[in-house]
This record gives sequence, structure tokens and C-alpha cells, in this order.
Amino acid sequence: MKNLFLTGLMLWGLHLTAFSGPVTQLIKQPGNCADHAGASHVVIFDSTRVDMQESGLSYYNEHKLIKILDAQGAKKFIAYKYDYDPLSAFAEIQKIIIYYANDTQKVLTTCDELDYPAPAGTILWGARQKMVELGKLEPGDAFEIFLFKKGFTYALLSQESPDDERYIPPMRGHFYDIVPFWSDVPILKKVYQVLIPNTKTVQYQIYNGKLKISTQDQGDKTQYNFSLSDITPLTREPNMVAASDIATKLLLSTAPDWFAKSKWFYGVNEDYGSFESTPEIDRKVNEILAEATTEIDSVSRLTHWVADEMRYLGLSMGKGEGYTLHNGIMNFTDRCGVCKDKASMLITMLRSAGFEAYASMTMAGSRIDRIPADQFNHSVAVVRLSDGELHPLDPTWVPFVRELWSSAEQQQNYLPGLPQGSDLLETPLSPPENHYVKINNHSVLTNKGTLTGEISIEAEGQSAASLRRMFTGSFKALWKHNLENELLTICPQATVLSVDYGIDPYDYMAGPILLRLKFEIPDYALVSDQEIIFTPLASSGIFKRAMGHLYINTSPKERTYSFRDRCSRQLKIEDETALPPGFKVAWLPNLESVDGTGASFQASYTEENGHLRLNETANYYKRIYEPQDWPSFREAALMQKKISDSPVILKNEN
Amino acid sequence: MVMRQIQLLILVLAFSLTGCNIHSDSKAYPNSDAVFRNLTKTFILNEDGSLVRKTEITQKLLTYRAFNSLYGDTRISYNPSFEHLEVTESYTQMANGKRVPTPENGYNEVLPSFCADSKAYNHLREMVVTHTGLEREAVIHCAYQIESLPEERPFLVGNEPLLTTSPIERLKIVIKVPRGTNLSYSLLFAAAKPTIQKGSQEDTYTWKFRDLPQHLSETHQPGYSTKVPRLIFSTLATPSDALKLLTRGDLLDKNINEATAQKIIGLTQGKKTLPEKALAVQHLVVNDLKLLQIPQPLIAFKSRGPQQTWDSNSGTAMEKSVLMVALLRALGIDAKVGLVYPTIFDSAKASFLSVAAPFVMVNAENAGSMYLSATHLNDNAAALKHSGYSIHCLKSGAVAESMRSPKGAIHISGNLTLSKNGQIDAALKEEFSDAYNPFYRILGDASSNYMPGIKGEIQSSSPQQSEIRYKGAYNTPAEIRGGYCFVTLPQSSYGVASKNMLPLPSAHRSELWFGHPLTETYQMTLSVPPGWQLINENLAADFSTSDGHLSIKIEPDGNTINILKQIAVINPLISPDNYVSFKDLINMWHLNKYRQLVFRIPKND
Repeated sequence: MKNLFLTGLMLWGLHLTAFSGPVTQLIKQPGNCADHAGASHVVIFDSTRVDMQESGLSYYNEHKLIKILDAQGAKKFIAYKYDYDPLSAFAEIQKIIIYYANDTQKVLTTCDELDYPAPAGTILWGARQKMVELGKLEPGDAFEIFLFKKGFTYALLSQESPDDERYIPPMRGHFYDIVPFWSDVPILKKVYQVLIPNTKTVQYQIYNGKLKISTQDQGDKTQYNFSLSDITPLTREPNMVAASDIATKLLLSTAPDWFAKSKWFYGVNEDYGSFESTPEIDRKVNEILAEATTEIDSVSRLTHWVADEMRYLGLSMGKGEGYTLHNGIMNFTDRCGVCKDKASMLITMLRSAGFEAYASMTMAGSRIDRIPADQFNHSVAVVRLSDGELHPLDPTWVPFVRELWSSAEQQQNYLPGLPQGSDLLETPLSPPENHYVKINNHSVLTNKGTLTGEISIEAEGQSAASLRRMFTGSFKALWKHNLENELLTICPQATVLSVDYGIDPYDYMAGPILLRLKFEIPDYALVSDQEIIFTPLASSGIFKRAMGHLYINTSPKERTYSFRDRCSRQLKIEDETALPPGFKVAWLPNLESVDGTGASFQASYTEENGHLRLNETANYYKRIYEPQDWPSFREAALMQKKISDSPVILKNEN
Repeated sequence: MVMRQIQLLILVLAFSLTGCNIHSDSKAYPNSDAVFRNLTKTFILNEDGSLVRKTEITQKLLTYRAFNSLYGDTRISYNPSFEHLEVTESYTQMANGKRVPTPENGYNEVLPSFCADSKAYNHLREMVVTHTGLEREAVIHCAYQIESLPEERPFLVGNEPLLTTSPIERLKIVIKVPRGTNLSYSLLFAAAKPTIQKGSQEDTYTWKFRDLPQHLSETHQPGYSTKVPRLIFSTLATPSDALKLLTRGDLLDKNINEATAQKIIGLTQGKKTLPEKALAVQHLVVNDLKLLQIPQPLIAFKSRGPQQTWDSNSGTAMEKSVLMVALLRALGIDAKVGLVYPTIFDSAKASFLSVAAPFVMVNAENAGSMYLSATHLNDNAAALKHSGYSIHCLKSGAVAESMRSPKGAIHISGNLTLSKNGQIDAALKEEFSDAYNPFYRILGDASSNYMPGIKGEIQSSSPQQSEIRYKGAYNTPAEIRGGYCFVTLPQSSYGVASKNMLPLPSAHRSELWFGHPLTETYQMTLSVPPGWQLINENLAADFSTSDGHLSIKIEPDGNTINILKQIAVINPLISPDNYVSFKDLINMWHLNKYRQLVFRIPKND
């Protein structure tokens, strides 16, 4: 009954400007922090009503009621803000009514609204913010928001005006929306309504849950209603996939399929001339490819030129920004752009070199579902090689990475923009051996507990990139310090005798990364006249930055949701320690092999001619794992930690 | 020491080099990401009180990181309500000599992130000048000036470090003041003198420097006491003038309204003592109001009154401090706003204004004076007192008080009992004194724990000393493996461990800051089952440096292990000369053999 009343109020509220009685009753109901598992605020209702026009322009109303539960909630809402892009959307915080716990009210209107350029980091597209200061709220206070938007996905004005042309979506006549029905704070009721012209064919799907759905005939439009009550904060698991992959959401779209979206994306950039070259670009391409030997070498040289020489920073091209790829001349002159512009520069150069190449959209960090709503946050390129296949290239994610397509994006959906259209595609798994890590230590242990020797690490692919970042992501003056620190973190008392990171860590295309340290570590082992206790240095956790699996929280025994690592990975650890004369192994940790769908692990200790050798091999097969992969992944990581945490005990046999 | 003297000589020579005509392109910077060919900063105070600040940059980029992450944009914050910004030049000279001007869309005005959510400061702006055409060996040319209205900030107060994250071939700082205006200045940790031109309208002071090295921050680097050369200057005649400026509009006399007063009275009703009430107010101001980290010069050192700060639920450090005093006053508690700043800034009158941090001094009657921060929860008064710093009380005037870092001690004593199953029972006492006495934290939250793994109970607490007793199972049990038992000794989380010193790098170019002088002592016994034999050897150590000493003695006596461990850091500021021996001291304290005891278990156990 309460829900019915809530729904009625929310829908009614869309058309009301002065209605306080029932709202004040609703505010009294949600209780306090204890009633909502420590939440600092609760959303009593969250209602959205969208009115789509034939052109695809959408009018969009939001109506929310939020109650503050504690001081942190009050601190969070000292102001209510809304971000918008003035080139594609209009937004107005029409009214906010604050209901104080002492039964007084304050009404804030558009006169109280500030409109200003939003804070910005690397994307400078002229985004703006609307803000209304709420001031000091107290637990028990609540505020009701009436927000109006129109734009690519938004709605609420009753009439389309000539000025609204710029708000019509680039895929003219179509509408899509992605509506999360999950939250990190309690929501007592969420309603989403959309009116769609009957001339359109809408398809929708609810993922990871159920919603209450109804439709109403509204003359030349059909109204679709979706609602859910008592949304509790999402329970997250460590390292789980994106919330949008596992939590309840609604996707809807009037686009028929991904083929249509693909063709549109192809057309919008070809029409704009994003990939037109210039004589200056052609000369640069010739210069880059002067010594190229093969087809893939040419693609590689161009991809890495764009990756390294065009920095990630977004300037606005004005109309079309956000979905149109900057053209070659702008990219080549500015030498900066966001992912789409870097992709565009690469396509321009590839075409200049005679390759068939296209732009592509993708979603870094979460899944793209089948409904053709724009689930994209990243742009890349595809090139057709002589095998006849299109191969993805990502110049944004491969600066100083020895890959053309970052394997940190394996198992990721993407949609190429092709003249004939394309279905949604998925990037393949990258075998662990493409991202190997080899740690090799040769050392001598004295009966005083001092360890001397040389340790090295060699790595490829994403593993190499993790190590290389200690150079390319740091001041040059700190390179030596950073490498030393890898050992000092494990053994603060160590003396680093020398470090070797090659001639130039920036020269990543020369080969896999190889780092070496020579050291002397007093008091490395715990010694007595009869025993020596120590951990082989190579297995001590040194160079952890190259082993992402060691950062995964292994405390959960089971998982409900899929989880993710940075990349697939192969690990090989070899340690050979010359033991002091007379000392033999007395105790070793019990080593067990692991072989599962998520990972495999084998390790062995051998003692021969006064030397103790440790060999560890592990394979982590994927980036995105299913819950059933967790037992083997967890056991493999735990076995590596066990070796690290369980020192070997030697006994003096003399 | 000799090496240090040579380094100083080189530094002094470097700063004394003027007029030397070395062709820039002949120099190589193998360890730098970029180099400033020229950096010129000009500060002009006009007769009418208007202020002009000009910056001219010519910077060559040497690495990919230089243009990807470090120097690709010039970000300029300013206050349009009384300042006018003009970017007079911005272009890139690419490696092949091609000149690429910053395009129109490369000038973007945004809201500075430090005033997000604040209506009061929503008018502040940051101009982002994006340098395009960047590549290795490209040179950025950028010049801009900010001119302020005469009445808003008719004075100069400056604090200009001479070193940046990239070397500087030519640095010029120019200060122009109306003729006869007294400019107080001091060049800290450098030896150059300005050329002074007395004109008919203005006096011009010019400092020129050549070939300045890059300066990168290091771990545990002290704030302003680090010896980075800097020029500080001021046209304010006295420190009192600076304090008056901060408290314009009777700021300190402004009160909160009756409703707010009643609110704070209600919120502190359950607090019995004056210190408890003061700490409750501090918790509210620190935790419940958003901190706006707005540079004070940007708002002409002006602050809003306490009621405005309260109503907006947000404020700058100064505004929060003023609010805190007003809230305390509403409770009948005598409190004042103070400023703490590095004493070296006294060498140029009132220049401390550029770096001073506000805090609140509370007259807590029998409990003495409480020093409370309005931006973070400090554990005791000592947290705001450090050698090399001075304080001013805003209310009483410009009498500065120099401070010395107070000492403190942590003493842990008692018994541990190890059972055959690895269970460890503890009966320990932890005593904290002076600078290491978390008096405020204990008053504010008696459940605070200071020994990981053992639940403690507060026995007593006063401004001078507090005591916590730990009794019961130590929830980090011993590990038994291969016939041996590994016992990790408990450790206070409030002593050396709280400094997060590990790992210390092999060298430290600047001074290392430890915090307050500390003596941390463990005087414990560990009882083990009969026949269990300690195998650790060489468990006695004595080590002294000029900055501290360490003494460890762990020895078995039958089934009891007597443990005596003590470290004392007597000098909290470690010079680069003394760094290596200090590093050895810290590393020795953390050696595993002194922290993990291993026992051989008899075969029949």
C-alpha cells in the first residue's frame, strides 16, 4: 500500500509545484541510520519521466526526495549539483524544497541556481555544472528535487523549439537509455517512465533482476513504466566486476540492432572527414615506416607512434564533440586528444599507409549487453590485415606497452563502425605466456645470515608494462631509487650494490624488460649455531607490482559474482641459494599443486650439492573470471603466499 | 661532513653565478624530464595599491612524461572579482622549429576543484592553458599576468621557492614597489643579493640565478624547514599589520546566532568537563564541515564570519578556526585563534602570512592550554608544536612565540605467556607521556587501541601521561612449523611504527623529519613451556648516532625470556650528513631477529 502511495505521489509530483503534506509524512517514515544499515542518507523516491520526440530529442524530468540520516549525509549534500554539456543538453534545477526536521521549509528556485564551468582535469570540453547550495542540513532533514533536462537522452519541455536542434541526438530519430536500478544507498522506490512515439520500435530488457513493468496507451505514444521498491545498497565483493555487470538495470533502445549503430558510427565520422590525411601527415607516415619490414611491423610502428607521441588530453572541437572523432589535421597539429582522437589519428595514418582501418567503440571496465543502447566509454581502431580479418588496435592503452591491443582489455566487447555494419564483438583471451614474469635469483647465504647475490626480473606484455611504469611514470631522477626500493621494501637493511635497468626504459619496443639488482643483505636469515631460517629471496614478494594476483583479496572462500585481475599472467620463479657448509634442509613448507579453470600452480624445492633450489610456476588464465574459477585462482595465489610466509629451516649437520 | 661542505659550496657557487654566458643548448640533462630555459616572475605593487604579477616561462621538454603528465598545461588560478588575467603569449616551438600557437580551444576556464560545492567561492576560476604540438625537445613558451584592483590587496606578500621539479637555467625574480615603500625580504638558504634600482616612481629589486638544480620531494621531508632556497618578501610594515589583515571586519568578534548556540549547547550536553566539550566541538568542526582548501592569497586573506561558515557547512581552515572559537565561546569556553608558521619567515616581516596555518588555543583551566586544529583531529597539544616554528595569537597581537619540539615517551611493560598450542596471553601496560600521549584521542574515544592484536583498557589519562592496560589473549598467535615455534612480539602502533619509516632510501638529499623526539621502551618477559629453547642468537645490541640510540637485550632465564628493547630519537630533524647512521638505527630497530623469536620445541612436545 505504501509503495502504491509512493508511486502515485511521484508521478503526481511531476506536475505539481506546491505539495507538501504527504511528502512530510513520507519523510517521517524512513527512520534513521540504524534502520538503513549505517547509510548516511536514504532516497525516499527517485522518479524519472522521459518524453521522446520523433526526432529522438528527449524531455526528461527527475523528481527525488532524499532524507539525511547523519552528519556525513549532511556534509555530502551541502550543495546539489548536476553536470551537463551545454552543446548537447539543457538542464535546470527547477526547484528544491528543504524540509527541516523542525517542520519548517525552504524553497529554492532557479534564482538560487548557479551555472558555471565544471572542474576539469584532462578533458576540457566545456562541461558545466548547475548547483544549488543547500547549506547546513541536519539528520532528519530532507530535500525534494525537481530537475528538468532536454538533450540526447533527456526530456521534459512540452514543445520542441527551433533552438532544440542541437539537443537532437546524433543518431537522429533514435533514443536509448541505461537505467541503473541499483545503488550504494537505500532507495525506497525508483520509477522510470518513458513515452515513445508509436512510430518507433522500442526494445528493452531487464538484466540481473526483476522490475514491475506496465505500459499505457497515450494516444500517438506508448508509455512504458518500470519500477522497483526497497532497493538496498549493493553488496560488493572485493575485486568483483563492475556493478553494472551484476546489478539490476534496464536497457532500452529504439535502434534495431548493433549493425545499425555500427553503420551510424561509420557514417558520422566519414561524413565529418575524421580520417582525411594531409601532405604533412603523409610525410610523417613515410618517415615512420621508412624502415618497416612487414605488414604487422608497419601497423606496430604507427600504433606506437600515436600511443607515445599524442598525449591524452581532450580539447573541444565544438559541435559534434563527444561522439565525433577529431580530424587528422587537428590531431596532428595539437598532438593531443582523448581516446577517440588518438584512434582517429591512427586510422588516418593507417589509411595514409594504404591500410583499411575503421574506428570502433568499446566499454572499458564493464560488459556491453545485447540491447543496442550506447554502453560505450572508450574508442579504439580496427585494421584489416592480409589475413582478411579486422584486428583491434588501442593507441590509448598501449603507450610503453609491447602490445597493439592492450590485454588489460581482453574479454571486452567492442563495436567497429563499418560501412556494412557489424555485430557486437569480443576481444579474445590473451594467453598467460604473453605476459610472463620470470624472477631469477642466485645468491649465497653465510652462516652469519648474510645473503649476497643478484636478482633479476624479466617480463613481457602487460607484466612488463607494470614494471616499466616505475620508470615511465616517475621522474627520471628517481629511476634508480625506484628500482632499489623494490628490494628495500622486502629487506630495509639491504645494501644495493648495483642496479641495471638497461640503457633506456622508454625504449620498450627493443625487447622485454629486464631489471637486475646486486645486493648484500645482512641479517637476512635468522641464525643459531644449529639452525638457519630463511625465505628464498625470489619468493619473498619482491617485484610484487608485476604480480597483480597478489593484490587480489583472497579472504572470500567463495564468490557470487565474477571477478577481475589486471590481465592474464604467467609466473616463473627460480631461486638458487648456496647454503653455508654443513647446513641441510630440515623443514620445508608442504607444497601442493593447483590446476583449475582459473589458474594453475606448481612449486618444488630441491637440495643438491649445498644449494637449495626453488622453482615456482603459475598461470593465471584470464582477466575476467567466473565464480567457478575462484577456487583455483585463490589456491594458486595462496600457495605463492604460503611459500613467501613459510621460511625454510636448515640444520647444521656437523 | 667534508662532503656536505663541498655540496654547500657548490650550491652557494651555483646561486652566485650571474651573467655567465653559457649557451643553453650545449648542456645536457640526463636525469631530468625537462629544463626551464628561462623563468621570470615579476611582482609589481603600484602606487594606487593595484598589484601585477607576471610569469614568463620557456621550458624545454626532454622526456615523454614531461609532456604526458608533468608540464603539458599551465594552470592559473585567479579571482575574477578583483583580478584580471591576461595570457600574453602561449606557443610551442616543436623540435623541428615549427611554431604551434595554443589554439582558441586551448584556453579553458574551469572551476578550481578546491572550491567545489561552495557557493561563496564559486566565482573563483582556473585558466587551463593547454600547450599543443608537444613532443620531446619541444619548447613551451608561455607568459601571463594577473592584475588586481587597487583596494582589494594593496600589499605584497610572497614566498617563492627557487627550485622546481626541473632544473632552471635562468631564473629572474623582479619586485617593483612605489618609491620609498619599505620592502622587507630575505633569501633563505642561498647567497645572492638583488640589484636595486631606485627610480623616480618606483624601486626595483632584481634577483638573477643561473643553473639551479631540480628539486624533488623525498620521503619524510619536513615542511617549510627543509632547506630549499626561497625568496620571501613583504611590504607590510609589521607582523601586526598582517594579523590585522587576517581579522578585517572584526572577524574575531563575530558570534554565531542564538539558534546555532543552542544547537552546540545541545550537542555537547553529555560532555562533563571543559576539555571534553572542547574536543566535541573540534570533532564537529573537523568531521562534519567540509574543508575548503582555498589558497588564502586568492581570496585576499579574507574570511567569512562564523555564522556564514556554519550555515554553508563548509569553510577554509581560517573560517573553521574562527567558527570553532565562536562555538566554544557559546559554551562559555575561552578560546583564541592562533597561527603557526616556520620561524625562518620572521626574517622578512609579515611574510609568514603566506604560509601560516591557523589553529585554536583553548584555555582549559585546570587542564592547561589545549591546542586544537580545526582541520584534523590532533592527539595532543604537542602535535602543533615543533622546533623551528613560531606561533602568533591573533587576538593578543603580534608577539611571536618560538617553540621547541616537546619530547615524549612510550613505555611498554609486563608479561607474555606462551602455551604449547601457540596461544599467547598478555598482561601488559603501555604508558604514554608528553608528545606521545594521545590525550585528546583518549578523551574523545576511550576505545582507541594502540597495540595491534590486544584489546586495551584506559587506566588513566591526563595532559602529561596516559596509561592503557592490556590483558587477555594476543590474537596474533605463535606459529608452529617443523618443530619450531615463531613468536612475533607485540609492538605499539603509536611509536616508531606510526612513522611509517620503512623502507628508507639509501640516500636522502634533504633533511629527514622524524616528528617529536621519542623514547620507546619494551620491558617484558615471555614465559615459554618447559624445555622450549630460544634459538635466536646475538640478541644484544647497542647502537648510537648523533641523533639517537638503541639498546636491545633479549636473554633467556630458564623458561622465561627477558626482553629489554629501547630506541630513542633525540633529534627530530636528521641532516643529510647524519642520514645513513640514522637509517641504520631505524633498520636495526626493525630487524626481524629482534621482533620474531623462534623456539626449538622438544621432540616429546
